[in-house]
Amino acid sequence: MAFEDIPVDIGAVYEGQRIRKGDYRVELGGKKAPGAELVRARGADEVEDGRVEVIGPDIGDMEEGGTYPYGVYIEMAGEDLDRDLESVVERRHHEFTNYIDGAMHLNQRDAIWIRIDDEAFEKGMNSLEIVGRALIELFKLEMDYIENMQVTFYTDEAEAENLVERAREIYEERDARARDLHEEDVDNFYGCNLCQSFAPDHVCAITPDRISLCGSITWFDARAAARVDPDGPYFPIPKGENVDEEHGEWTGVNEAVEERSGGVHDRIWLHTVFDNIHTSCGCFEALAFYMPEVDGVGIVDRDYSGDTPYGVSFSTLAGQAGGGKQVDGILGIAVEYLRSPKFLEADGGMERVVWMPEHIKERISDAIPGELVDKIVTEETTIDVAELREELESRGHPVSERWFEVTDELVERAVDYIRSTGGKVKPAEAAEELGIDRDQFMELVKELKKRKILA
Amino acid sequence: MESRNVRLDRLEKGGLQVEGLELTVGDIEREELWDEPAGPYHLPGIKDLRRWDHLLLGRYDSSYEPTRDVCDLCTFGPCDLTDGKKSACGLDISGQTARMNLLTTVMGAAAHLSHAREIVEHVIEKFGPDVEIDMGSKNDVEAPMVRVIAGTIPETVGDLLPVVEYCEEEMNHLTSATSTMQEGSPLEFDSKSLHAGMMDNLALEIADIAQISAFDMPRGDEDAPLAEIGMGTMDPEKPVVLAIGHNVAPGTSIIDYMVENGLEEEVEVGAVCCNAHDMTRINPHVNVVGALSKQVKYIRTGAPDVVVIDEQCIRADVLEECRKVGARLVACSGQAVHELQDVSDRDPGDIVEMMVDGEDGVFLPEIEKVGEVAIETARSVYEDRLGRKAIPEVDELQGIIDSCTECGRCDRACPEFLPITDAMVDGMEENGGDWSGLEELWDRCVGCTRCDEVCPVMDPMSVQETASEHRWKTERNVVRTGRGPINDTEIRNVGAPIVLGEIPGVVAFVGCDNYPDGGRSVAEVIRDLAERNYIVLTSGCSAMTAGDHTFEDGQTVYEMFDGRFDKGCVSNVGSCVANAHIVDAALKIANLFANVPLRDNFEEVSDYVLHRIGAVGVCWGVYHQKALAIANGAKRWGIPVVQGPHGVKFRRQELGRPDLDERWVVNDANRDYEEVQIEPAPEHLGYSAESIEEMAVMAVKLCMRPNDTRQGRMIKLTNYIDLYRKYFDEYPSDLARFVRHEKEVPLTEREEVMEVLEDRGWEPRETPNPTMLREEDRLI
Amino acid sequence: MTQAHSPGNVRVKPGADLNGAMLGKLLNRPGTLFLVGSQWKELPDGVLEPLVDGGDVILTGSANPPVEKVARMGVSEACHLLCSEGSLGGEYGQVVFVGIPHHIATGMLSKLKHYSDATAISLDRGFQPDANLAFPNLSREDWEEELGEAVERRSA
Ligand code: SF4
Ligand code: SF4
Repeated sequence: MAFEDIPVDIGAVYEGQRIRKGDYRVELGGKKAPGAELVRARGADEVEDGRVEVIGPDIGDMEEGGTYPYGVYIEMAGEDLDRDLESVVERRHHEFTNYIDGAMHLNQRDAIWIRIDDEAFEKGMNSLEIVGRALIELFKLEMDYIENMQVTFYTDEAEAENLVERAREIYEERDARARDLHEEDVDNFYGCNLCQSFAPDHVCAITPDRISLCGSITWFDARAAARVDPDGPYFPIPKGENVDEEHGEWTGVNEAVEERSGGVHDRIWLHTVFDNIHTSCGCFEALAFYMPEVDGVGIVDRDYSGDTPYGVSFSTLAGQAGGGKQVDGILGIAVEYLRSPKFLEADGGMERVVWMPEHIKERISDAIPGELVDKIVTEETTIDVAELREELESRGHPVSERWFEVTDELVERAVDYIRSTGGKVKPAEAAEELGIDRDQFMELVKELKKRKILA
Repeated sequence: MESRNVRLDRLEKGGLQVEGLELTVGDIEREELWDEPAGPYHLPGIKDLRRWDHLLLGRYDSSYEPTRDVCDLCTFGPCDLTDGKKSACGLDISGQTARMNLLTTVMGAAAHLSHAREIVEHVIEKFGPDVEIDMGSKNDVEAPMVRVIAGTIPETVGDLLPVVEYCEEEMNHLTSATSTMQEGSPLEFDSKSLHAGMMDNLALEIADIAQISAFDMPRGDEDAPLAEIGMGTMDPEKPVVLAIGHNVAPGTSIIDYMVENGLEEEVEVGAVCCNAHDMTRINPHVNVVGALSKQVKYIRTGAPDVVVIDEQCIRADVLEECRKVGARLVACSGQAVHELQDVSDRDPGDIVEMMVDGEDGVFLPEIEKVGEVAIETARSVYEDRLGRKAIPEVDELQGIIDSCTECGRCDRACPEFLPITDAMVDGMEENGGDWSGLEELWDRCVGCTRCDEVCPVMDPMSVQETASEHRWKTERNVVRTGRGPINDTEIRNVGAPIVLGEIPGVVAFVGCDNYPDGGRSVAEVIRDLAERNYIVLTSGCSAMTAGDHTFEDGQTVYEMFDGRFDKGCVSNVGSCVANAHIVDAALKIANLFANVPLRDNFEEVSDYVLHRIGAVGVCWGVYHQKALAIANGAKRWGIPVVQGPHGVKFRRQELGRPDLDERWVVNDANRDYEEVQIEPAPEHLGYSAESIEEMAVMAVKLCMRPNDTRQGRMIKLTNYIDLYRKYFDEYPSDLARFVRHEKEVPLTEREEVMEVLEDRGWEPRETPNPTMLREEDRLI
Repeated sequence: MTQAHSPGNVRVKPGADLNGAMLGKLLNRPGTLFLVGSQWKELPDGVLEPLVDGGDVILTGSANPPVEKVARMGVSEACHLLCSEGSLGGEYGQVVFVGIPHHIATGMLSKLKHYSDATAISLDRGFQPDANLAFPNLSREDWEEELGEAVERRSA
């Protein structure tokens, strides 16, 4: 076996293990000491395969129960490797460290926090070299595009600080690159059909501007995964032609979705909550929902348990959206999608957003244009749609300019029409008759009630 | 545009007037707003779901394990059914065994259904029929089973009555089918057993949503409070009221009286069995004495002044046991009256006086009076009671142990074959007087008193009890109170981790505590699975067992793991009736993730559950017929169940045949319903394991489903292999069956395993969109 | 472990109780399958190996004794296959239960009695009325003695 000379067991079964206070030999990184994980792609001659180096005290030299800095610098080489794969590989560091029985890895990037438990230490896990060897083995097994890999651990305070600083720069660089990469810049989008396991008609279209709606898979992730496992759940979607720029309709996406949904869906608009909207499976993090009363879009996520101005909770709304259906007006999204420059582009983007829970607003505040921040209402102000409307009006939210006004002339026509029907009014027919849409008709009914024409 | 349509209707509820003209916009009942298409099975009768049962039982063999060679149910008999002989009425051993399984299921389901009716009626009597059904803001689908089977959305507790009536009608037909010269086919009996199981599950749901709504029990509380559990939780120096049974109504009366009169500090109120769960769901300060096995054990300590019984899991000799210690018995349900005098029309004060004057029990179906009667009686009599008990004193114990004749009758009588004689012998003075064996038995003993019945010289159970007195007197652990439903939001949260292979499955530990070797190992398996990131659910006596054992750092699994429905969490749904939420979680997944319509759509929903949802029920300590009824219901919904060795006494398992490929063919909905081969997953539908290790391995194996994603299958196989190795010390020989793709083999052993598989001619397989139904049978 | 808990069953083929000498002889029959269960350690040391020698062994539950096996499966699975022609059914004329927990063994022996032609022998210390042959309820010492005798008989 590849892990023969490692004194503890290695495997996915250990992923869930927790090492509690009092059970650990040493603690690395975390809140009390600097720590970071960084993966870099290098030239073949720059990486010595299998090399593990520890700069600073090793586990055996550390004081029992102590906390030490932890910088993990992983260099890899391989013909098919490129910069964009770095973050994908890096993300697995968490999982693979956890595969080691007696090691616990929490958080990511410069917040990593590791514990090595007493038992593992007693079994002989007294050196980070062992951790390094296990990691190299695991990475190479899982990702066959990695040909060479070497790992350097920094437990020396200054050296670790150094790595943390360098890592932060690189994270920022990467994030910037990801931010700057858009649908126009790439040839392929990616699809994910993992959720078909539960929602057989659903296909996720993932683009540089649209993260999967569970929030777990970015375009980079999907690309990397599709590359290593060509017959796996992630597949490239040659994007084809952009037949409808406004809505984000691509011929490639349509074809892929048609094929993979067994013909149930054949037309997808990527950036809208209306009509041919992207399907939603069941594990979307949040929903964007259209509220006709204010002609705006609300956002609600799973962590918000109260009612929305739509009159119902996340659960109820979600119940209407899921299952791989295209439901006009309710769209499953990842919270991260709110940061996308193409976020609901067809509908007016962030300018169309009128309401969201406070915690989301805080989380994405940097992605909301300054002049809009105070215009978007949260549950702290109201969850009542009528109040919301007043609030939007007084805050001068851009949607208020779109509002439909009930004129006296319209009221007259409406009353005539209602009379002519003898009282049996079907909203769709009435709207058509009056030359307005159904939502507007609803506005009208409301106005009629206000004016006491209707009881 | 459906959603907007709905929106309009909702806003414009109520008639509109236009100068005297009535408008019909709006004013639409909630039910009409339910835009879900309806399936073909509205209030299905025995005959309606036969097709589904036959599909299930066509894949899973009924393995009959007769407990009797003869049938003596009618006066033609007794009839010998050995060697293929038929009875006087023409039934063979398979038919008779299947019939007995049906009869047993009907008994269990009837207990739950009668309970459901009593709760619903009690709520209506107390609060009126309009108590709104409210499962909290995180639960939109309030009653999944009612939706599926009765095709309705119940808005009030009153709306549940017609569903209860439907169940009662079906149960009557089912009972009728067990009578002589009705059904003749084993397969049809089995189908009826599943139908009875479904009635049971529906009754559970009705009972629990009614009581949650009426008594404000936790509605999907992800961090439900911890309650104390153990025989040492109550202070026996205070007046003690002990409730036994399953129907929380009398319990609410006790809690109300205690709280209204500010007696929380003065009086101790506790319960055994499911009543304890339900009372703590109302007031977490109620003490949980323990599971069923603690019933007689606790009474014999002499602590209870008043024992209140309602229905189910009450020992037939409870009055006799109460008499031994002078505890007064209050029976509240017509189900268990014990020849006690009906005092419904008396004032509580009079009843208390009666009991203080020496009446050893009363029948008091007037629930409202129970609280006052129980608490005031306890307050009046407790001082006299102090010091009384029905177990030996520590200082007399040595002499009793020494009197053991070593006849071995106790061992033979014990349903768990506990080595009582050995423990007695070790405990004898001449052998050094080591009582640790007796103490150890205390943990494993299920409290049946059978040894007492046969021992010529003593009550061995009481001897064990005194020998371990120093332990149980201070025994105080914690159990998480019953959380009620699994929230829609939690279900959504776990969707991605399940498909991404972070959560290997859902394992629910349910049912009684007739453990073949104590409950500690159950708590250990729960801990092991939670550490492996399984979602672990508990209910009923199993939930108590889980909290009644501590690990190295003195913590129970409820303290070690969070109470969410999430990976690596352990949550207690509640009492027996709360088991409904486990099945409901599966139905919600179907509804939330795939929009499978629930309404009248049993077949499609169950087909979805069977092929997609990696959930397994474990009933390790199965004893009551209710456990069988729950299990048979779960199986019909597509959730496999693993039982302990006592499970074979229910006479039937539903075993898959992994050796027969033709059994594992489904239709692939993504390929025009073309037939495709799948792996045997889940391999069995009902299975009895002989040892706890085998149970654990089987439970994780049965979490596999044909729809598993590669990552999902990988993590499931990783755990299967690991547990197999841990307990059987070898590699599973059937691994090749479950590997569809190289990437499903655990990373760390991929190379070696693939070599072996390829040598055996293994070929990769696609993951289908599996169903046993035909396209025309489905709504989606 | 000991006494039977299903006294309701009639003994279909009344006959003598099993004893060590008889057992020793029977075990020499060809076509014998041993189902060795998780309580195999109840047997005195060194007895299992010579007992099962020459027969096929299926390990059930979590049994892991030092004997060669043909398979591992649940006792329920094994007995179900034994009742099914074309799989294990018909392959073995004699099935011997060793170390299978009493209750589940009772159920399985009943199943074999009704649905299989194989002769079922229980080595349980407690009586199993559904087996064709079983020891009467024995004390541990007597039981060990009978097993010892069976081993001796086999090697003789
Ligand atoms: S009371 Fe306990 S020890 Fe006695 S027979 Fe019952 S389970 Fe066995
Ligand atoms: S039945 Fe009583 S006398 Fe006989 S061995 Fe058991 S404890 Fe001793």
